[in-house]
Amino acid sequence: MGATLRALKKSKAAALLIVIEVALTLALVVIALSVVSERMQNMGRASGVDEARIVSFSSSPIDPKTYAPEAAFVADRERLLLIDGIESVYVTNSLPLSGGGWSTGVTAVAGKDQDLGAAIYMFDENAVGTLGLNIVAGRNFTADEISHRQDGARLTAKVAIITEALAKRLFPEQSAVGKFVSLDSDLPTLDTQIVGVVERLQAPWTGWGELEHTIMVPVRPADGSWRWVLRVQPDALERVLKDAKETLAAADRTRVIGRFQQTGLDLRKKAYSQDRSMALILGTISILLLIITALGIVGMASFWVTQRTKQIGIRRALGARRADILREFHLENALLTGAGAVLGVLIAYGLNFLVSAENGMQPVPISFLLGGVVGAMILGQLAVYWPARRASQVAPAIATRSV
Amino acid sequence: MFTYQLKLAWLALRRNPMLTALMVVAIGMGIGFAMTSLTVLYHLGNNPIPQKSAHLHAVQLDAWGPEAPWNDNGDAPDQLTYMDAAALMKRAPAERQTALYFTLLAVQSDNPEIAPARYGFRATQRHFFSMFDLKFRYGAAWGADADQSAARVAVLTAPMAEQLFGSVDPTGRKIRMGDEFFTVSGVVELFNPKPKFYDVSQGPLNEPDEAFLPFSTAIDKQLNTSGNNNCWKSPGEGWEGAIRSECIWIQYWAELPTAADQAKYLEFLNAYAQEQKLLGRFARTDNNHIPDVVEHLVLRQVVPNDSKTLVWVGFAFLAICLLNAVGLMLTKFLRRAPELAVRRALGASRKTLFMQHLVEAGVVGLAGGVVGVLLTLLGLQGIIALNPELREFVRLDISMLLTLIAVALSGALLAGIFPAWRASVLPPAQSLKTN
Repeated sequence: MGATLRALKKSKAAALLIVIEVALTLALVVIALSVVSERMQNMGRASGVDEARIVSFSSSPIDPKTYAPEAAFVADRERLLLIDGIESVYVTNSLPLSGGGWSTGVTAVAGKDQDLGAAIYMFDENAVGTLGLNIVAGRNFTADEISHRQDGARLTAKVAIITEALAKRLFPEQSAVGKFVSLDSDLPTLDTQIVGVVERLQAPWTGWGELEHTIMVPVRPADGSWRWVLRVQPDALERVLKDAKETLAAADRTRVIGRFQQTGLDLRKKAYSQDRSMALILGTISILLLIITALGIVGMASFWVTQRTKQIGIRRALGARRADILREFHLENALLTGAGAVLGVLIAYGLNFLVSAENGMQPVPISFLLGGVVGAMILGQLAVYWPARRASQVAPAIATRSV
Repeated sequence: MFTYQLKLAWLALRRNPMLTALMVVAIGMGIGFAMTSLTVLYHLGNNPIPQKSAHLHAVQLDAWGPEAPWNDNGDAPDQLTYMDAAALMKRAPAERQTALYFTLLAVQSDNPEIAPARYGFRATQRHFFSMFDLKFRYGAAWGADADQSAARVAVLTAPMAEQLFGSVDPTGRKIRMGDEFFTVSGVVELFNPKPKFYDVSQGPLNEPDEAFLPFSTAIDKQLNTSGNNNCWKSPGEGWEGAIRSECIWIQYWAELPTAADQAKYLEFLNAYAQEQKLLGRFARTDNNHIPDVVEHLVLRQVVPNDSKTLVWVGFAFLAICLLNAVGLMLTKFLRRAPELAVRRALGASRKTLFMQHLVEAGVVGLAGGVVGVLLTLLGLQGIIALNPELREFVRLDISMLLTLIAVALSGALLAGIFPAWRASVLPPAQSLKTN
């Protein structure tokens, strides 16, 4: 230990550089990896929808005034169900992960004491099956409950299905089924009855605070301007999508079939593209940084080995074993990276504190800081192994030479 | 002397190719990351209309509800209600101003080969084209009377005109849009500013608008907004309910060239807010603003936090790479102590040795810069692969390229100062003696 410290004292500047480099690397990698893990958690959240089985496209009438959406829906639905590979269909205003939709304030309390934000999806009796939702309490909509919305009319519904997360907020400790809510907290007459609860169905906006709060109403969108959602047999997605759009377009030229289309997986990819690229970039930076710092340690340690060749020879001649020399270099590295790691944890903590206050970054978990220290020590020990081995192989005879 | 030093530096660098390569690659990667993230930030923070940005002002009126402000910062909302937009169009003191919103409209060609399709329309007023410097390929904007009378006219963008009419001038031709025929009054080149500053409510990199129709026509035809719409109070029933609602869905811009124009306009907005307060609206009467384009983009946080974070990370990465280079140069220079001692003994001054090492550091920096340019190009390709919507406007221009080389060179020189100084002050006698 004493010898190690004395050796370090002789090259203060270089030792200090290693400490700072390790500290900065650790701080940056720990923060970067905590962001990566946060983003990966986001990306891993289930939408509730059986995404691999879903395709979607829009359709809207050219002249809403002369269009009869109810008859058109029935005819189009039949055309679609004839296509091989399509299991079920429904029309809606929006889907999870799509980034566009409606929200409202919902309340279970007459008066204005409660106002929970929730997304609204228009459903029919086939929607639950099409999306592959899991009803955990109550029942699905029935065909006779479904109505067509009039354009501009207030959205009302006698019955609704909600998500479990919303049910728990509206009716803590009770079953939501059979209870009444208002879908518009400005008009708190509780006239919508909850008939069912689904395990999960996310709102369309992945960055929204109320992501798990969703209400489904038995209504078809107004004017025949809607988004078709098809449940398709696996591995037929692309073909079915093409067939479906061509069939509808050819059958009736009074409406426009959307140029844009998505599979459930496209929606997920797009919704999380920023999270994915952030995770990828920060992950890459972390790995490169670790490599560069490790190589820096190798370079510096090699230099010290060269510089101290003569002393090592003398110590070997005086009886130090190879293992002693090896240990000396490993110990030296442990001291430097240890100091760097402690400093790095402080920097990471301080930086995180500053940055999280400014742009809402989550605090770095303690486990990441501890993991960073352990990781830095291991990396340091691995990096110094090669130069240390070279040092241990210095022959005692070197001591007798003049250079 | 300089070429001699360059030669020495070259020889020295060739002596430890691994160490040299490590320094060059480390600096190159640092530069690559820092400059890739900076390039993205630079383009996201781009002024999309530099020639006029100071004259164009977004109009913000705080008509949001009394219960809570529009956001936690207490900013005014970025969009207006129809009632307020209509009042401003009629009464606000600006030569050129326009309300706008985005809507989708089905368009049907006479040609049965072309399937009917919905296009993205911008409902606006005729001043839009001159305010935002759109370039007409054919025809011209509709006239003031069209704005007044809700005429069925439209301006198409060139790509849409080509899809529908081929490469002929369609000015004056009629085309079915929705349930009526519209007359084409002109064709503009695609207007695709990045960021899409005049309406960032659907994301700053959103698709460009495909066609334009008069605001009054869109309202007359009861075309709902297909953009962003926020309400603090439920709207009434039907179209009447929508246009009398407190819902905000209309963007509004005014061209105000002088400070006097701006002061007058703001004064009008505040007076208008006071007047509306008497009618029971406007809980906050003094929260009205007219940010110019650049201020508007800052307010709307067009540059995502992630991009800013990446710039910090990129430069921290560069700093660590440079620190790494300091350490490696230090070891490299000090390793030559005996050689330096001989040179000192033969009469080389400290300054000469210092300069020689600095030149060596500079060579490493330049090489690192070249590697950095390549890695930045690679990095930008990677960014585009991850975010295809950035494709059109993330690129390396000459000024970024020069910045990049300058950063690499000055970074390496900075990193070289300490090692070079240490090498130049080595006491020659000691090294000579022991060797």
